[in-house]
Amino acid sequence: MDERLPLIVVTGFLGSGKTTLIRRFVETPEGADSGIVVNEFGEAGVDHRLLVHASEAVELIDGGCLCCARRADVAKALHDLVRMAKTKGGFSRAILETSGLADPAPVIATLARDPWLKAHVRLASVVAVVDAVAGIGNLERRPEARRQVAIADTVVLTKGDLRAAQPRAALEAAIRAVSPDARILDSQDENFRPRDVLGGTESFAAPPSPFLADAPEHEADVASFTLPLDGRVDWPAFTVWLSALLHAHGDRILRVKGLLRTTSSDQPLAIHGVQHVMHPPTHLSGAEAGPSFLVFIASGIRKAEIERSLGRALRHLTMASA
Amino acid sequence: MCEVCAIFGAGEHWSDFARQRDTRFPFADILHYRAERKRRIAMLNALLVPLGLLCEDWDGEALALTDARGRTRIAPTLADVWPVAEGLSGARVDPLADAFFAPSCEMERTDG
Repeated sequence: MDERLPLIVVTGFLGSGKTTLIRRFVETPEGADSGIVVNEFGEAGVDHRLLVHASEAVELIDGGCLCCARRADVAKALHDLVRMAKTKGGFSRAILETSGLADPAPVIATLARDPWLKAHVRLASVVAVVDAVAGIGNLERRPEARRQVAIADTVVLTKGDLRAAQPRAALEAAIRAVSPDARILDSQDENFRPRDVLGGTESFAAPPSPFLADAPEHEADVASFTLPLDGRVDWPAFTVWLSALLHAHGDRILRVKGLLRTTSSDQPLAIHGVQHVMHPPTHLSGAEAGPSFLVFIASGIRKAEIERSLGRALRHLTMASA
Repeated sequence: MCEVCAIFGAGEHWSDFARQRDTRFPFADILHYRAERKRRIAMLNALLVPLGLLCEDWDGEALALTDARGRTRIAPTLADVWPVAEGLSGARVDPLADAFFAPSCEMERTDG
């Protein structure tokens, strides 16, 4: 059983309603046992016994790209929270509210690269909050907003009750154009329960949905596409290819996920990565897995380039090791 | 297994074979892991030899890259191979470039 503290990262553009969503949850009895990390006290507005403040501090490591920057503030705040969880007890999850312009990728990279944090914290979900009034405009004009949605596994719509709210179908289409398999929930729905997104029972590495229609590709913009794969994938060849691809182009690959039947295992695998960081594969039973496929959410890389590269790699590398 | 360090050689990186069995210490299947690891090193060499580098297993746990001048660098995981290879060879690793996965005979034909 995984006894690590579940972490839910709540991201979303300025004014989208992140704080309101978190407050709605922690003020219920089932959310009271949450530790919260915020970048700005004013922004959280939560009177909560388990509140940790983290001034946004980003450290670039090895002269690397920004997506691999270490969020020193996040690392320290999570260390503090885990210690509090161990000493105070009765503490079931950590919720991290990023600032409105923050990129969630460095938070995930920080978690994946810190051995102590990896042993104590499990990334349960990245939730992007999109408001029904300004959300479409933000997604069209602000690259930060697109990155937040692209990396999230769950999107919560807010402010759908306001007069200026855009129709839900238009909002969903704008979100799906960036992240085709995101789980989309409306906080105004009568059945919406904040614990379903902030409860920490989800797994960020859950298998993605198969065979979604490709979102339109725009030059130098976020595009998503699915690559179906035939038969069993040669795992050593696939890992050589994907590791090289993420090394060279991880800054432009916001998400890669997929379901693979491999030559190395009887069980199908779900794989998940955010930019340069891959998470350990999760194992599925044969019954719950369909055909193999990969989903990419990338900026400025076309499906044809990835498809051609993977095809060449699998042919060449399999031949080289025969 | 390395008897000095008690390293089992299955690895914890996402690409390593222990991850294929969801177990840290895959005692039952170690020969399979060794065979897969050997195949992966053959694949790496298909890409690294044209860059003037040779990849060898380093105790079943890491990878050692050596250039023609005898300089050796250790890559603890598969992900570390690429920056190490670029540092030693001065070449850029780009799997989206057609030449990167071209078999050497195909490259020769193109050149010639």
